[in-house]
Amino acid sequence: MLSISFSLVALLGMVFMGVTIYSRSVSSMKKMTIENNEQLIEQVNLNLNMYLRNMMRISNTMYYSVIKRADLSKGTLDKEMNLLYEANRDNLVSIACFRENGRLVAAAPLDNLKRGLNVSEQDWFVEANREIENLHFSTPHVQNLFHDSSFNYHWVISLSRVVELTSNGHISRGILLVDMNFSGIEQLFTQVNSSNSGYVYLIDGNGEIIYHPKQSLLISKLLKENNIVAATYQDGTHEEVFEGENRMVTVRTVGYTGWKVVSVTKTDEFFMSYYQTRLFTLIIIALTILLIIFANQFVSYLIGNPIKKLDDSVKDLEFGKLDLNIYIGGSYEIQHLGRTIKSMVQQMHQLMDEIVIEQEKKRKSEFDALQSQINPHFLYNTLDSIVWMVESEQYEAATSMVTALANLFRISLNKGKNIITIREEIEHAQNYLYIQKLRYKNRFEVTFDIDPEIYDCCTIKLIVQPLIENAIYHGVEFMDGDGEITIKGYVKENDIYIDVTDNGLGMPEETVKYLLTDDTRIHKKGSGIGLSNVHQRIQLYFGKRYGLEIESELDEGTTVHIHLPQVFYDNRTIKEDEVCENE
Amino acid sequence: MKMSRKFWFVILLFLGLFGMLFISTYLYITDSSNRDKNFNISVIVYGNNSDRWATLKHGIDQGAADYGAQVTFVTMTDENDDKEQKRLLKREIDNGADGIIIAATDSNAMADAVANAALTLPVVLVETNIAGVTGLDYIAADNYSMGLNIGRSVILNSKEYQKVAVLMENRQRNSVSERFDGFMDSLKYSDYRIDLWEREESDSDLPQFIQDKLKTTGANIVVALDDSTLEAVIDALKTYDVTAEVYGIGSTNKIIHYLDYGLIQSIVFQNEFNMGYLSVQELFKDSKDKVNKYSETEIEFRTINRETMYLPKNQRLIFPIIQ
Repeated sequence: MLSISFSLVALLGMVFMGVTIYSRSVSSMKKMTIENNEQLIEQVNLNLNMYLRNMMRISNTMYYSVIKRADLSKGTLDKEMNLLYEANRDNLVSIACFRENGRLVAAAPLDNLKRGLNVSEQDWFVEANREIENLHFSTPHVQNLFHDSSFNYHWVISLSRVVELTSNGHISRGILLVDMNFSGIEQLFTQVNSSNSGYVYLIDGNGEIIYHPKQSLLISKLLKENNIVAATYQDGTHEEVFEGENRMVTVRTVGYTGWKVVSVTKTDEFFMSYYQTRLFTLIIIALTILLIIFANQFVSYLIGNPIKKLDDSVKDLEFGKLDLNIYIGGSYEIQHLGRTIKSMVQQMHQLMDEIVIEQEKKRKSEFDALQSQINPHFLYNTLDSIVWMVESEQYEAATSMVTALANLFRISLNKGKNIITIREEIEHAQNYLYIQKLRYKNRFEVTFDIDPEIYDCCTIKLIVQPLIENAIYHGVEFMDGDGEITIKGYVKENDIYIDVTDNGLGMPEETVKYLLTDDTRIHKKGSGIGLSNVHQRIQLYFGKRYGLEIESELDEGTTVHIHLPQVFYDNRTIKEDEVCENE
Repeated sequence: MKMSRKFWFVILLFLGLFGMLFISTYLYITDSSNRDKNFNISVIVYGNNSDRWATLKHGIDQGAADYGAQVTFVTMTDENDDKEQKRLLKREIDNGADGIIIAATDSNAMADAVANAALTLPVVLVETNIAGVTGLDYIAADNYSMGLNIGRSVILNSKEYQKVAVLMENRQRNSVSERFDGFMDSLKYSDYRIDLWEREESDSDLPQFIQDKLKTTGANIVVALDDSTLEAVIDALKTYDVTAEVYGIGSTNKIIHYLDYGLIQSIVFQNEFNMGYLSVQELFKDSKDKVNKYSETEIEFRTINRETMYLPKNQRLIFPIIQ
């Protein structure tokens, strides 16, 4: 989670930064491209001007320095024309002067016109005659004037103008033609078009293409150019969409001619080709994502890992693992957190132990309280009997009873121990029965049937005697015939059972129900706390599985089962304060 | 927190990889402008006159510049030798050509060789088709219509009942035979007397043969259906003292010159710049799709005479501005 949130935040930041930087760089690139284009176009314009001025200079020189001064009746123009041609032959194809009817006056370097040629119908001638005061620049065309046996055809730009020819004082109209080699313009543009981004082309005032780097494709209609629209643009930079491409077009009008130099840059090519930019961007994004993931893993390792370990420790704590070692590591804050949790856990454990001890103490004090209820109850009964014997002058019997009572107390004191052997408990019961038999003059019979196997097992003291007491008081005392009380000890399913059975009056089912639970009832005889006291003591000491079970039927008798765990008595293992919790 | 050595090693490794990736990307991008120049195109044309193919070559060069390819232009030592052309085709494929543009010298004899070549690499046929093999790119003008148009020029410019001689040269090329069919169809319902001039093995060279025929048959009009034959007619008329009206198909500098000088009455010519440019375009399409996709592209042709040749729309085609 930590890693994912870091990545998301970082990615969002990166996208925001990317978009900002991209848009800023595009706009600055755009600005730069516009400036570059304008500079470039300015340079082209300058060179083109030189080219055109050169043409005009040649034309002017020819006209003002030669033709105007010459009288054709006295000489020809050939010599001067040839000189001028030779001086400029790098760019010139020919210089020629024609009469108004198309007849050749002079020409350099060749002067033999093709046969059957009608010069006066050629465009440059017609244009010059149409506006006689102007210089006319033609669009590029193949020169069709002179005979040339070497199959050479020249693409030329023609500068034509009307001139005054003087012949014997008579002035007539003529046309001066200067044909410049088109390759001059071509070279000029080839240089600027050699760079990769965008291209520059040249159109005349009507949008007709004079030069284009892909002129052949345009002629063959394999390519289209927005030249007609470009002719309508004012000087400056314009944005247009042509053939589905966004383009930036910078236009500059060339002096004298009305031609326009047009620079075209595809918007996608501002700093690299479209494909390259996209590729570059994608790779940079991929690299950055990789870097972010790595950085996040690193940060997660530093922060997340200790937190996770701490979390795992706390989870163990939740599941109740006691021998817990809380993780302490990572940064200072996390270490502090770990230490705090550890000390909290230790405190918690300490508190829990204290609670257990306190609970134990509480249980023991309850147990002791119950135990202590026995003694006065029994003492009251026995002393009552002795008093009765003394009153009826049965002194021997009283003596025996006092002796038996002494024995009883010896056992019940039992060095203050609550846990005794069953043997001792049975002996105690027998002592008690001796006393009671004296009291009741053997009105009942008592049978002991104890499995010798259980004699050495543990029991808590004074549990059989109260049951016998109950059997006597509530079972056999009010019987007409002889009462029978059977005390049977045996082992069943690894547990010890001691059953106290009488053939007395029995009890109704409702009485049985609350006999073990309700210790608030007040009995007519004794302390009235016998059965529930025994039951609670057994359960407190041995657990809820054990205790008393009562079976009783009216007029049939009652059996009380004492259910105890089979634990052999051993002074070393049985400690007085311990409670053998078996639940 | 203590960092293990392994941890620092992983960090260094990652930074190293990151750096390498960045540098290779940068190098790849700066180098990408040159990487398409590896596509080699071999252009194999018939005939030994490279001037005859100047416009086609111009178109191919422009296409190669636009698409990024190297061009090898191969002409033959003879005007018409299919064995040599087969050998050149094999040589170019062996030399690692990635695509072939071929003007077959013999439509029948070259068929198998071209069809086999097309199984391994993109092949574009220009100017003339090959016989019996379909499914290859073919770029040419409508040869039949070109023949038809030259026949119409004859009808428009000359008087009826004259004797029209047709030179039966190079008819092993489908282009020429189709032009012949077109021409013959155009004169089907006219009253011209048609004389078919076919050279025998024993006959002298073509200009001499033409001169002899002109002298013996008294033909008034000579029609040549391809560049080399038309040039031979020029040579015959120029060198020997014979006259005739000449009509033909072709556009070499020599043909244009003699059209300009009135030796030839009218010509029909095809836009070979387009033929060249489009053939490169087709090669790249096939190469990209990895399959020789059949497409037949028809290019434009025009009929011109001495008066119309300087019209702006015509002069741009017949006097190409070679850039």
